[in-house]
Amino acid sequence: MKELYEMNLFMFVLGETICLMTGILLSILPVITRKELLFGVRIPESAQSDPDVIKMRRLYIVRMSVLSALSLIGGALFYWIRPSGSIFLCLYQPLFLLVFQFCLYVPLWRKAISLKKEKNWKVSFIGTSETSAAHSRERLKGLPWGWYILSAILCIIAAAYGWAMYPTLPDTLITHWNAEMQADAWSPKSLSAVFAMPVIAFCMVAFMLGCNIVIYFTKLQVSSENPVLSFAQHREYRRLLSHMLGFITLVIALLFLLMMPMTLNIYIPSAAVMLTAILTATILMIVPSIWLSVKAGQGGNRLKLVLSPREMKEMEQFPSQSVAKTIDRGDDRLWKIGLFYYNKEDPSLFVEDRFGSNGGLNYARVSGKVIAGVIALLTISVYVFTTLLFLSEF
Amino acid sequence: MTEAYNMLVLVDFSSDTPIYKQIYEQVVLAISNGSLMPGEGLPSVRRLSEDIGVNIHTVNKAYAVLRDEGYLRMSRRSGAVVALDMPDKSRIIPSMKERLCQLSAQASIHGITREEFVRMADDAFPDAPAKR
Repeated sequence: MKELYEMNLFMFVLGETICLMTGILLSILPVITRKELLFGVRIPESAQSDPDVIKMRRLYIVRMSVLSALSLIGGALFYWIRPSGSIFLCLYQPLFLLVFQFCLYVPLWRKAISLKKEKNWKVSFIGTSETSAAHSRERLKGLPWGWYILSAILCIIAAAYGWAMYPTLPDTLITHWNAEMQADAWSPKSLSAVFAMPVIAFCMVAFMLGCNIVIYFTKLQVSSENPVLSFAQHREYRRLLSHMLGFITLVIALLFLLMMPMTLNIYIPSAAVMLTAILTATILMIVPSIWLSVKAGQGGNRLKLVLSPREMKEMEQFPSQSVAKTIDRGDDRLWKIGLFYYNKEDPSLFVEDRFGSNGGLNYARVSGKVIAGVIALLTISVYVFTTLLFLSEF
Repeated sequence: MTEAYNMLVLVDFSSDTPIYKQIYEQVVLAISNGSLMPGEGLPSVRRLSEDIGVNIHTVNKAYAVLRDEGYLRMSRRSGAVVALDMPDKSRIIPSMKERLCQLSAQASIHGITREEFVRMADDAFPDAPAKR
């Protein structure tokens, strides 16, 4: 029973950690999202100090953080009453926060639209590209290959290790452990059992590399008042984000590969060691993400940068070539509820979010719809499956 | 290698000038002031249209006009590249004279003197591109 208690405690700690991190990230969204975007609506930079704008942002931050705190307390109460249900905290607490955040967001988005109309804020509607950056981006210049190559090499070493140990392994291997790390399934040794972990780890590395490449092809939210700075900030942000993704890839690869001795039945860790390893890896992955989003802001908009002389020159020139400001809603009308990008003309598939996360897709494209559908289906099935699985133990 | 800042293409969707024309004009301007150097690569049609958020055909048209007028070379391997040697001036003179006729006519109607007109042209004329 002691192990079961540890398991529930672990699930509780994991659930509350995820809830805390999600709560922090959602609460600071108005701080880290672009200044020129007010709840998904494009406003001029001069409107930043408008008392209504400040009030709206403050209202969101206060409500969201109060709710996150309440959710944490609620989670603790739930665990106190029903420790065996702690898995549901991991599953439903972040979901609850996201749903509440959406409900909090929609009225604020509406208010931002009417405020823009009422105060007659004019924003130009432009599209920009920086040619050399776009040119090197499509050639994936500056992608931190080192992390991915290192992770891939580790996978190969692990596979070689498994191959070398194979003759010395017993004929029957334990293939499964229950949550308390007691063996509950065996099977005759086979190469597939030996190579499972390195292959899974390798697939994860490939997946993360794919994510990093997507970042290179993501369409940017460029400030219509200062595109030069926007591009420079995004360049630095992309560099930091890529390195962070590379680091996370290495952590994931290590997590899988450290399970090798276990799958080979050479060293069976205790439940406490396993849980500590998973918790450490989770923290190693989440903490850098929060650090980066606070330091750099969305798309690097909080980064203070030293611009090159060429960029300074271009920036000074910009107001003269700056376009007539329109009262038109501009690109706001391309963003449904200020969250979902829908532009038939635009061939982009991946776009930078405007507020929080909407999957960053152009939903006007068939591939965008397919990806969104697949993600939604996967998420729903994971929820349904896990819920049904654990409801019996609840 | 770090990306060097190069050239900003900026399209104004609320302008009356067609989008392809805006792209065309900015590339010509960038070549004249040295933001784009001969032999330098431009992003692919797809990349540029994704960044700006316009239809692929729009960028395609701009690139096609630039190519037809000899400012760009299209190659299968490296995409659109700024031409190494620009087309001969004899090619452009007739159409330029035509446009100047129009401009000077407008200038005279609005009471701009000959000297003022020449000075304006002189000011607008780009400096020799700086070597990078």
